[in-house]
Formats: sequence, structure tokens, C-alpha cells
Amino acid sequence: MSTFRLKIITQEEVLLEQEVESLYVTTIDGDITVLPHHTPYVSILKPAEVIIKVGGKEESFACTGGILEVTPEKVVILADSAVRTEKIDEEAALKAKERAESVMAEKLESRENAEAMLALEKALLHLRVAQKRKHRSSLPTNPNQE
Amino acid sequence: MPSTRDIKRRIKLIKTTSQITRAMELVAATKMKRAEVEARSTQAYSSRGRKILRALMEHSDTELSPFFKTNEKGKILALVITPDRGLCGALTGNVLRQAVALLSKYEKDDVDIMTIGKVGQDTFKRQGYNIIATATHLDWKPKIFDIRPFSKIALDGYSSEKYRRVYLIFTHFISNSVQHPAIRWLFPFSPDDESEDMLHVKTLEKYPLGPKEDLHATEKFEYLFEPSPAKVLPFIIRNLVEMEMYQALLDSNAGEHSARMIAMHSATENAKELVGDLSLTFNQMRQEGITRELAEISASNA
Repeated sequence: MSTFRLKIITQEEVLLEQEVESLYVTTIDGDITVLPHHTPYVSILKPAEVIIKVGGKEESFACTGGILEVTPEKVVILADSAVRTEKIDEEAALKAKERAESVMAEKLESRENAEAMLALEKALLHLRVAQKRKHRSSLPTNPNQE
Repeated sequence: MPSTRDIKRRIKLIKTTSQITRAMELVAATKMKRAEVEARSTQAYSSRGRKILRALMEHSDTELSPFFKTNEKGKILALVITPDRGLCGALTGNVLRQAVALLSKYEKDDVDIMTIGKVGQDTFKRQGYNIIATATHLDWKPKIFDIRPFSKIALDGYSSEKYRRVYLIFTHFISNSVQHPAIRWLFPFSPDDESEDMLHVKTLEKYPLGPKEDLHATEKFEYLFEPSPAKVLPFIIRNLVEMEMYQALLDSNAGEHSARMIAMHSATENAKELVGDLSLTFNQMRQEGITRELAEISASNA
């Protein structure tokens, strides 16, 4: 199967740089799947799950918004922050959510509010993506549950 | 001729000072490590961002965004990033020298200045420039929120043609021992490289968005923007310009702490040397005194 080069760059690190078969992202315009030889394309990503396919297997990331750039040579995601879904610590995300909510309830200074808002957005995304993943991966192994 | 007591006092004084410089060195080293990690970690993002901006420019219609145009009217805007405090070697002086060299070519009325850092603020105030925004004491942990007011002024100012040029003057952090003062064009994205203002500035980085060869300029293509250029471009440009300015702040910060650490290290070393020299003089004088007294005693006995 043909592949293309994908680079995921966050504000902290280059999270991923490798050949992938497909990329599934959520832009502000809706969900799209990028396959090899996609037309040059620029869009804005919403905070959502990013799924890549490598060797027929899916890998999932939680990505808090950013920029998607498709060029003839490679695809670049500039994400504010991104993390592999299996690395999400749900408990920590829950705590972060509570912390952010309490800050937002107390402090009205716009800067701190904006910071808390971002933290909250991130925590919510982590929770959402992690739960979605868990749900999906539990289906084939325990078909009788639920 | 100083007495042994004077020398003893001086030794004590120097030792106390060297304790302070030593402590400052350690503090700067800790801050430096952290600042360096922060400056390096965002580098991948901001340098890719620069390339995207450049590529967007090259591969889309200039009518799509006010930032793709070159403003003819308006003033000059410069953001100067300096440390809050001194004691960091030649770093502050270098940045300010560059800034003054660049800005002195314009009329003072033609220039608006934004400063981050106390030293820059004081310098430009003294020189009678029009300072429109300042921030101080961001050094320990600058956040992207800290740069937002500045990037907003720059973005709004350029798109409304209030400014024709926006400069970023900061310290380019290359390594712990090498930091250069740097001037970067923020707007317009594609300045005339040969224009006269550039000739006098040595360390200018002429290509604010990276040299053309770096880019995927080999193929001619045009980007498709979804949902529409009008929705996508402002967001991307705002984000990437903000990141560019944030990176300059992080770089300056890492540079400051490195420079301070090195300055304090050499101060401590100098102090050690001085103490050594003075101890030698002190011992010699003491010995001379003893010899003289002995000679006097034996002379009186004879």
C-alpha cells in the first residue's frame, strides 16, 4: 500500500515523523481522511481524535486543535498539544478538569481564565478520546458486555 | 603602602562578593537549564510555522490576506526584548546597540516601540521614543499568553496599515556560550532585501521566514483552503506570528540566563584569583614584618 510522510509537531516536541497509509482528522469544516497524493491543502483542526493507519493498524492521538498542512511532499500537523491516546491518564485528566473548572469559577481575570479554559478544553478532549477508544477496543474482545 | 589589616579586609570583602556571584551563577544555571529546554522544545513548531507562512505566501494569491501585501504607508513598529536586570555580560548592550542602530535611521516620530524587559524600556524612554506597550518580569516562565498583547498590536497595526514595517529585535539563542543579537522582519512577509535600512545592520536575518530553498518550492502548486481562505488564513497567521514572537521571547530568555551564568562564573573565577594574589601579598608582608622585628630584637641584644 502506498504511504505518505506525516509529521506531528506540538509546541513541546516533534511527536511523530513517519510514513503512514492514511490520516483521519477533524477540521473546522468536518472530518476528513487524508490519503497519499492528496491535493495541497490547509485547514484548521478542532480539538479531537487523530487516527493514523500504519501497516494496517490504527494508532490514535488526542490533539487539541492546530493547523493541518498538506503539501506534495508531506503532511504536517502543527498541534498546540497532542498525546498518544494510550498514554492518556484518565484520572489526571479528570483532576485537571476539576482544577480548571474551579479556577474559572473563582478568578475572573481574563488571562487566567483563558489559561484555565485551555486546560479544561484539553482535559475534556483527553477524557472524550480515551473513553471512545476504550469503548471501541473493548467491543471485539468482550462482545457480550453491554 | 596598604597595611596588612587593609589587605585582610580586602580579602574578606572579595570573598563575600564571590559568594554572591557564585550563588548567582548557580541560580542562573538552574534558570538557564529550564529556559533552554523551553526555547528548544518550541523550535520545531515555530520553525515549521515560519516555513508554512512562507509557503502560504508563495503559493497563494496576495489578495487573500492583508498580511501578504507590502504596506507603503504607516509607521515603524519594533518589539525590543531585553533582560530585566543587568549582570549578564555584553548581551543587553549588544541587543540595544542593534536596536538603536536600526531605529536611528528613522525619525523618532515615525517609530513606535514595544519593549519586553526593564532595561530596554528605560533606555528607549530616556531617548525619548514613543513606547506604546511594555512588559517586565516575564523572565522566569514566559507563557504564550504574555506575548498576546504584543502580537495583537502588531497584527492589528499591520492589517490596518497603521504600520508599514514591524521588527522583532531580540537575542538569538544558539547555545549556552553563543548568543547573537538578532533583528527579524515580522511584517511585511517579503521585504525588499536590498532596501537601505538593511545595509547597516550586521546580524540581520534577511529571510524572516527561512531561505526559499528550504521550502517545497520545487513544485508549483496552490493550496486549497477549507472551508475558505478568509476563515483559515487569519487564524493561521495569527497563531504563527504569535509563535514566532513567543520563540523570540524564549530565545532571549535562554540567552539572558546563559550569559548571566557565564558572566557570574568568570566573576567568581576572577575573585578567586584576586584572593590568591592578595593572600600572597599579605603573607609576604607578614613575613617581612616578622623578619624586621627579629632583626630589631637581635640588634638591640647586640
